[in-house]
Amino acid sequence: MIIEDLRNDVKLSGQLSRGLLDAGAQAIVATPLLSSTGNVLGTVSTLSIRRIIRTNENCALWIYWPGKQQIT
Amino acid sequence: MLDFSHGPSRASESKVRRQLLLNVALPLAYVICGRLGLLLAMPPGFATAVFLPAGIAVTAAFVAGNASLPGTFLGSFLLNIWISYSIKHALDIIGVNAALIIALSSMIQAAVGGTLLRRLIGYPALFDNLRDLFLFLLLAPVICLISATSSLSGLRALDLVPATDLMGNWITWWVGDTLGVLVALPLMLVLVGEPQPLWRSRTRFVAVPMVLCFALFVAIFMHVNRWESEQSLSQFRWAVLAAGALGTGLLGGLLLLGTGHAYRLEKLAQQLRESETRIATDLRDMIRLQEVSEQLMQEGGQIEKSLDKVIEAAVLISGANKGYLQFLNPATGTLMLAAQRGFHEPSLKWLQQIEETEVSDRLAA
Repeated sequence: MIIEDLRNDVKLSGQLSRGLLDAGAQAIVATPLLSSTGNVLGTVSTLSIRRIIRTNENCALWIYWPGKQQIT
Repeated sequence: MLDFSHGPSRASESKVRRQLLLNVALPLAYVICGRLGLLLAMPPGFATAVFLPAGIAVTAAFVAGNASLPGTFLGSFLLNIWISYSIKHALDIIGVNAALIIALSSMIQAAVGGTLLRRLIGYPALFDNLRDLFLFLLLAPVICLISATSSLSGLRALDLVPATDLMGNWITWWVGDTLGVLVALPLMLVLVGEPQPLWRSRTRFVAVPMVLCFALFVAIFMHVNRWESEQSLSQFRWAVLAAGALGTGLLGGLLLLGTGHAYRLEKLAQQLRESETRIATDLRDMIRLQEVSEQLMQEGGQIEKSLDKVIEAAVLISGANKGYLQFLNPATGTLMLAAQRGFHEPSLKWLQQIEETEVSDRLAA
């Protein structure tokens, strides 16, 4: 999930969006962490202090999680 | 924060600037260049060896299309009224009619010339290949048949040009306009042409050599002009100026070709440098990812120890300023903070407390 400008976004809840803005973030890229079986394990979120522009490069960032561990 | 509040006013400023260029600067340039050029004219004062305004008008139509035509008409009309007044020291209906005929002819020539150049060469034009250059050199004399033919037909009808002088004047007019287009078009494009980076970069390597070359031949012309004005010398003077303008035009063509190639090579070199930078960045990121993967593999079942490395790599690779990693708690369906980078109090405290079920729902969907 890519949010180019948190101030003009409606995808995130107000509380989360405000919190991220208070932390100085303007944009966020949230990448899901998937197990090898396709289960969602979590997310890696990176935040930028400037608005970002969606490009092929930042859309293509995927992190493949090794193993089959279940995180609890 | 990006501020777009100046958008409409900038657009309006640009529109005003364009209107000023087309309706004030164009007629003014036409009159000034024309008056200077017509100092070299043959009697009765309408045909000159090099008529730069013809090139200015064609270039304006090439760059701005039909919007430039009123400016060309106005410039040509004012210029010819001025000339007519200079010759007779009075303004009569014949002089006004002559000015109208020439202005109309000049406008039609500019319209046809601009349209032909746009269709066959295209605009924005780089003039960086032989095809464009040959087309330009071929079209210039063809386009300039219009004004010479229609203007002199009109002047003959008004009995301003004797039948015996018609052919000589026609040739001089046609050559003058053609050479004017050959010389003025590259110079005008350096001033107002697109793409701007290419045409402005041609100031030093195209415009300056062309102006110097043309100035040299004008100086020779002026020097020869001081000699006794025999008929043979008059023809010689005309030939000097015509040869100078032709030489300047051809020099301009060659310089356009050279600078066009240089510009293209520079663009390619720039793309290459950008590719190199991108590849180097990608390589660095891949190495970082490999290091993280290796560490994760070494840790086996204890990947929590490597989470800091994972989030650090994610932040660096994506060019972000901070980041965090959350794991999904299957029991509660909420995301819980596992690692972070770049957060400090009080944001860190807030980050540790959030439980964003909405995000987990979206990811699961």
